[in-house]
Amino acid sequence: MSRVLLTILAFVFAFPAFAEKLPIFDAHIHYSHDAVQLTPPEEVARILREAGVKKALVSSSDDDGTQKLLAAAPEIVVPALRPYRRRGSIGTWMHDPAVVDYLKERLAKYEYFAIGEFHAYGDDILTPVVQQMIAMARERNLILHHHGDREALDLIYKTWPEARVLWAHSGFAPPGEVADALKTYPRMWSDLAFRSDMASREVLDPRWERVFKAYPDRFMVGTDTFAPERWYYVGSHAEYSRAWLSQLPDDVARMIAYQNAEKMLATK
Amino acid sequence: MRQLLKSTLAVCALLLLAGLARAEVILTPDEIEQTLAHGPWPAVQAPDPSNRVSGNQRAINLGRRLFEDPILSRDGFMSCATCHQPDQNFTEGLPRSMGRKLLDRNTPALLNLRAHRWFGWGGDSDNLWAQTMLPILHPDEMDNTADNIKATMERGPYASDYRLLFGHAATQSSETVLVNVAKTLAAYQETLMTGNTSFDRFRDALERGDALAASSYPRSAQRGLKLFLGKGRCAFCHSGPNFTNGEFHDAGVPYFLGPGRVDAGRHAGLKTLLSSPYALDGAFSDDPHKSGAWAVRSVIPTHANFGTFRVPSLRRIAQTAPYMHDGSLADLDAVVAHYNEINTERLHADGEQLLRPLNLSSQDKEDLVTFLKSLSDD
Amino acid sequence: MRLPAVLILVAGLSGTAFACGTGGSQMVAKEPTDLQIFATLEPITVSKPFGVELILCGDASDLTVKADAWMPRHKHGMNYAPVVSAEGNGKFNVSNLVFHMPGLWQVRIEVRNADDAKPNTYLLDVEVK
Repeated sequence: MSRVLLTILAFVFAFPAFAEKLPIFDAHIHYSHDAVQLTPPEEVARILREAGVKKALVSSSDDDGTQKLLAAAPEIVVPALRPYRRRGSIGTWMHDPAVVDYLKERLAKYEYFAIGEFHAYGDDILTPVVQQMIAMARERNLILHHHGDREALDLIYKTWPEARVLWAHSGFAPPGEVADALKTYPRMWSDLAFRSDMASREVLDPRWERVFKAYPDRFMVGTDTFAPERWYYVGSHAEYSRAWLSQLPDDVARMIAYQNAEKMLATK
Repeated sequence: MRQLLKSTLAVCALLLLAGLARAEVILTPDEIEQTLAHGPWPAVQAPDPSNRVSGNQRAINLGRRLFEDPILSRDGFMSCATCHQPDQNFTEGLPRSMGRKLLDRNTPALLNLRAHRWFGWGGDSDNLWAQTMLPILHPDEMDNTADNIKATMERGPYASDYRLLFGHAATQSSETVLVNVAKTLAAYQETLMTGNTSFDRFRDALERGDALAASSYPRSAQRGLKLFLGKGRCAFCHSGPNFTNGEFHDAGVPYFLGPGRVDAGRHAGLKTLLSSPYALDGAFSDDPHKSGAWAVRSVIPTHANFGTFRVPSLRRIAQTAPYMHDGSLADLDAVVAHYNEINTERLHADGEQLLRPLNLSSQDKEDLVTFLKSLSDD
Repeated sequence: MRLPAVLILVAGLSGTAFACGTGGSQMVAKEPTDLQIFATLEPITVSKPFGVELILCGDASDLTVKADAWMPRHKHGMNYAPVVSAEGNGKFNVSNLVFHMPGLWQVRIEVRNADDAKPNTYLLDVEVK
């Protein structure tokens, strides 16, 4: 295979600082309790600035991490409220009534732009806890950063048809199914966190390329710092994003890199 | 008549014994089938086609001497054997290697290396000779240069051996000489094989249908094997005759190295690999068919690579403590406890769904360790 | 540096000439279709590369074929990009498939028309010891 045809992706894996820095809005970041213990907020803020991350939708378990990071980097952090205090509650929080009190307390105390990232599959959405959470988001017109499947997404929109939903990881769905969800729900956006299938091989995947061009105003990137060490992946991830985005038309690349997230926040 | 009676009694005794013995094999047919996949051992070992001196006795002899000679380091400070100590199964016995300073990872055992697809905890190389060059050049290890190595092979005590194998070093580029030296070291390291174990004898007996021989494998080890194959979920990664799938996984071990530093594992390994001129698709491979190059050409980088490490072989595992990429687990009891109580919060909710708390009893843990110990030659 | 292998090939084919349905396992199409795929797998050893021969029965002209595999119980795929080569007359060879764990794998073959109008996925479950 010709080395002239090297993917920018492969290049980036070898030389992470080749591209001029396209600003990044990282739409999927966590600064959770263990990360707070191991990496101080000032260091995390430095990592974000060094990576060229201009803004970041931050949610943490527990929420103290988000507030600490907001204080350290107010020009970057867009706070979101995660409904549970520990990552270990991912599969159980929707059955815990204490979640509702926690949400009420935090929403009264701090300003947020979103509730999430929350994990919910299928009819988890119909549990009283999730329904109350959606009602609280509706009262305040907050974005829902949802990690789950299409069935859950459909139920969210059935519950609240005007919701702005950011579909975490694009539901880990294939590009065709993501396109279908975007077509069905005009107020839905899709983050691409922890996905490598957009450009994990030679070039930008043609199936994804078609979807990005069909819905250029609906996607955004994200690192997903799910374990404390992954804060040290933020820089590499930003370069990875710039690399595959550079294979799209400039205007589409800028939209996915940061403009779409800003538009999502500005949408009422 | 008496003779006939004697023979009949003998046959009955044998049948009885065989019946009793069969009762001592506690594996199900499915488990027996899975067990057979962990052999035979020793595996048939073909020379490395990317290394023209692989299997060459002169190269092996030279490689052995070079391996133990600090002449390959910049200032005679250390040899390969300083960390890969022959009397310690080519490990060091320390959690993390001690080069010119404390290094980031545990010294891996140099055993059964021909079975590997990737080398090093992060898979920096796809062949043994390329991997062997890394510590020679690394500033925290042997800290040498290709020019120095060439000078040594031109004029030093190994000049004539080198010449017999590769020709005059003086007529070759420094890079070529370095690669050739690494190939002799690889030729030697390939010979470091583990032998037959009680597990292998059990496995081979099962294959032969020899229940009597199989029954001499202790029941505790058999129970441990059942856990290894089943509830313990070990065999998903520790598969095949070498007890490794050769790939990279997140075993739930933290990978901070200190404030502000992490060990990026396979992510960093892929960076090295993909920028290396010494991989199997490169000009330094002696294989005209580039037969092993498919892996480096088709490996898929993913975000999940960050903080993952190569699955180590379990052969002779009881003699190569401490464990994990950073040597953070002192003994096999600690390894079993780690997986038994694994902190799944560290793992991505949509990552590999392999690890989960195992809820093993004390007896289970003991049995699993007994099984692991049976993977050492005895 | 180097690139992962190409895994997508466009087959400029017209019809099929292989004896359809006479060998291999029939893959299950996600969407109803007239095009059938029969897969013949080489013997599989965990972590070793193997190949699959695909016979497409039906109108196989101007199709793009892509191969992948997935462990549904573990929620992960393969670590290597398989290579698909069109042999003509509806036959495709897939190489460099590597199942790096024992257990249930699902081979996924995606077939697309030139205009990308009717993508379809064909599945085959494979248990690896």
